[in-house]
Amino acid sequence: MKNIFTVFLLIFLFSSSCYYSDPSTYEVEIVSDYNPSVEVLSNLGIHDSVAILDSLLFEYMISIDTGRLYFADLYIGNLLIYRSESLSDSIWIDPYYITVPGDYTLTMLAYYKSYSESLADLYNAEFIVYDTAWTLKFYNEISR
Amino acid sequence: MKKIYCFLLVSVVCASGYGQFNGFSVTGGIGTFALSDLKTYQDALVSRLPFEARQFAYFPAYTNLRINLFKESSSGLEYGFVFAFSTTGTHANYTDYSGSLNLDQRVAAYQGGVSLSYPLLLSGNREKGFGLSAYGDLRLAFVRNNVSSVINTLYYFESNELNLSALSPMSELGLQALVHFNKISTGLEGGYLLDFNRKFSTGDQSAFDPSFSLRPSGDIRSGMSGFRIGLKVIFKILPTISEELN
Repeated sequence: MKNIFTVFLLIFLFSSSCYYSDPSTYEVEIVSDYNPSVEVLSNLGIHDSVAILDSLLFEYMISIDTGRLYFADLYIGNLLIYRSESLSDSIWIDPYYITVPGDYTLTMLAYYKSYSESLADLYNAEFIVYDTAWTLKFYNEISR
Repeated sequence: MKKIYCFLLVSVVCASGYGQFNGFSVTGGIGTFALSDLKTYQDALVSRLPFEARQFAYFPAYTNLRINLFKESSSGLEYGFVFAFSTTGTHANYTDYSGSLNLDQRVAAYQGGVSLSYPLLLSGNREKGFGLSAYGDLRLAFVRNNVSSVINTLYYFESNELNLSALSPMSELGLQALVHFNKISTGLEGGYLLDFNRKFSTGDQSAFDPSFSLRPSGDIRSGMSGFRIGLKVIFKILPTISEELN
């Protein structure tokens, strides 16, 4: 009796590994020649650094020829301070974003559509990143 | 969960009938499957994909298992319960550097019923010899088709699943060529399974808003009909009536 149940148990355990499975893949090579020129214009211009005593209105405009912007992130140091899906936008930058006065890098990462026609691109999940940066000098420290 | 129910069902049948049966047999092999409706359905699914995915095997010959618990009469007629399991499937894939898309169907049929076997030829005796017999089963099958699609990229993931299920009567007829030893017989078993093609009922898709639907556009029937062949081993538990008479 015990042997029968053992055999049945083994057969059932074994049968689950018998379910059909096929790991075959069809690999497609995609070569994208999409390489647009990207430019970011801002009111900070080409200054080496910008001093902030109180607060600063930062305005920017992104231009991508024949492209589509997903979103742009603004960082002060490693701190994400703003995300926008607009090609042109503005934000007030003030010393609340920092704890210690000094030089900080304001970085903009612009994510735009790759147009590679890959699987991820079709689902708007593949992007190219354009980055640009400015140096900010904070003078005021305002405790939080 | 359904596998556990099936296991319990077979266990109960075995336990309740153990004292009345002469033995049981296990046949492991492969089966072919018609599944014409599911092939059409797979073509329709592939045409819905946003990319030209490659279709791999269409429900190829795959695993078939048959377990038979039987009682043998003095004339050599064997009758009892049978449980069978069959599975096959199909697969389509698209892969590029950014990710992959898989579309799969996995069909499994759990079948339970009654069996009958009649000896056509016996050389020697049932303890040591060679025999040829015909068998026939009447079964009720629970056929389940699991349809799934998975899109996997670095920043986008989508998984969708749909289950089709049907209860379909089936019948199998075939031949067994066996070599008999003392308590064990072994040999080949092969036959044809006829599925009476009942309609699948369709469940709900697991994804709320999938990028393409898995729902069939019309009725789909089970269609598990096909040839079966396998290696059979018979374990004789209790002495047969002919042995008792001797």
